[in-house]
Amino acid sequence: MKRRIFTQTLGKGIVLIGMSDFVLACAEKTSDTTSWKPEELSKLCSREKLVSLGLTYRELSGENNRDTLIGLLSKNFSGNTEEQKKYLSALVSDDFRTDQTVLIDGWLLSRTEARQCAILSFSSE
Amino acid sequence: MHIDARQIEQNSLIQGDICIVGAGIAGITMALDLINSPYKVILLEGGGFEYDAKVQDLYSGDNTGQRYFPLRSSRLHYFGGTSGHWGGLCAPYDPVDFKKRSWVPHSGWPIGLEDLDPYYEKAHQYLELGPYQYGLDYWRDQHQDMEPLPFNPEVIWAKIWQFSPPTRFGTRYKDSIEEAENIHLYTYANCTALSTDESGANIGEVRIQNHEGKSHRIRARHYILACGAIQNARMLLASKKGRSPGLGNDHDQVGRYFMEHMEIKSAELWLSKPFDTSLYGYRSTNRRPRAEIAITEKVQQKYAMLNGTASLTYLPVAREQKALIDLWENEDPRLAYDNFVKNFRNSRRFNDAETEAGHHRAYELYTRMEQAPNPDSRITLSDKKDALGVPRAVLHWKLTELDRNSIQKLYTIIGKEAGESGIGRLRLDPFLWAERSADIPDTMGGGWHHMGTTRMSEDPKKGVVDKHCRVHSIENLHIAGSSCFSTAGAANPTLTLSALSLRLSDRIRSILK
Repeated sequence: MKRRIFTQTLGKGIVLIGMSDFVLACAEKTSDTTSWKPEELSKLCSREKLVSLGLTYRELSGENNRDTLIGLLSKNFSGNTEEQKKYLSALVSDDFRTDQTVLIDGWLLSRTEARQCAILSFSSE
Repeated sequence: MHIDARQIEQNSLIQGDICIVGAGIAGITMALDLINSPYKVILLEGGGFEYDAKVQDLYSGDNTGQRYFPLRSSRLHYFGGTSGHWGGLCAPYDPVDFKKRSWVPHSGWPIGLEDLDPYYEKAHQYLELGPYQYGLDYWRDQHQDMEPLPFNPEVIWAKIWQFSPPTRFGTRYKDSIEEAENIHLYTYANCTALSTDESGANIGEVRIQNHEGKSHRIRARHYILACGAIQNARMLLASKKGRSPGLGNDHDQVGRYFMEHMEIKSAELWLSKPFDTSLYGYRSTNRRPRAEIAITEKVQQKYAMLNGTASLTYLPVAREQKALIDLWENEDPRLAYDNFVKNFRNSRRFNDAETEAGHHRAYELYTRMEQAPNPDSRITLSDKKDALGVPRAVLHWKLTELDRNSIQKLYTIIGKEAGESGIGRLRLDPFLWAERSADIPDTMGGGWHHMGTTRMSEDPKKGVVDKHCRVHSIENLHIAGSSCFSTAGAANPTLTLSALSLRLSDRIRSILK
């Protein structure tokens, strides 16, 4: 598997992560209801594909600890899943606005949703 | 009036007021505009009214640079020129295309959009386009379903394109030209040399030849070279008599800055919900205007990128479409064209059924972007000669890091905006991120748009023609067509080269008054 990390030329916070022999089949629906599921991206990709993206992100970003990843995306939700979804959704939007994006296998993703995928990938291990 | 140069007496001397060399879109547009003027116009066409393999072969040449279409089949050599294969997609250049941009070396025209505006409107008539309107609001008033994707308008705008039928100049305007009393069309009249008078400051005569062994001389008060960007440069470089090296080439500018549009499949846009994308769709049935995704001038400046657009094609259709450069490999332009059309039609046969099934969530994004002006991207002469003794052209098409990086920036911006606006996500094609991504892929094609080889500049050291398209060192020689373009612009060149030709015919008229 050939992999390579690039620093993107466009903005300050973008990292490109590539896997040349990785193919993502999209438009499959997932029944996963985990609160870490990236809302927008899961409309386009199956759970299996989200997990694959998460594994790649973990390997190439160095963010490979579940608790650390959760810590990066959490605040006091009081167990309210809807509140968490809204918060994460806003984070994703902010990421795109502030150039906090990553490129995984060609997919231009918010860093938050890449981290969500990474968290999901732990549940498949 | 039509005269076959094969049928007249050997070494005839033909005289007139204006000699237009080349009867493609630029040459015919000028001739049409000069009908009923008080001037005798000699219009020279190397071929006849139909394809002729011997004549077509005069366009053969070598390519030593970036992979490109065979030179022989990238242009048509008969009356009407390459309008015979033209797709008809038209848009004017954007204001930024004419500006000096600090991040684009050699950018800036000595004229602006405002200089071409009246001629764009007039060119619309010859190209049989709709009203000279390119604002989204105008077209939304005509078609309620032309709704743009909800991108941030400060970053992304919908660039409107119109479709010509497309006008095949060879058939559409043959009668008009033949019936015009002051237009003298000579077919089988290949220009093989332009020579200066004793002063060296004027063209004295043009020599024409054909495969039947006839050669003749043309003398006129003004000469217009309208043979296309490769042949214009070739003809100037090959005409060394009295001036060396080449006419108008005192500063080694002729043939340099060859430009194309970079055209390549570049990304996939996956929509997070079904948007109506009618605005961006191509309809072969009614050819109504459509839009492409474009980046605002302000954002181009912010990211130091070139001007370009991304068009949307329904993904299953696009996946059936091969790269243009792979489809157009035949030296015979008729066979290359057939291969191209066959692939296009095959790809669209699934379109309706798939769309009705509701799977319109994914689109291919296809790049159409200007190439930065580059003096090392150029036309030179070969040691080999054609059947009429003229050195063949050599193309060295060369792209730069700015060209490649601009494509990557285009899709990174679209991807970010699609994410922020809740439109969806982008997946960039591997050439923009995978191994060896610094290279220009060999699937990179062009639009058969040859530009820049006699570029416009007020400084003779930086260009071949002045702002009136007059060759700097020669009083009575002008150039018509896209070889005069200083930059390639985001849009296809036909509308702009037509407008520029009409501006030139106005100029010639004012000089002759």
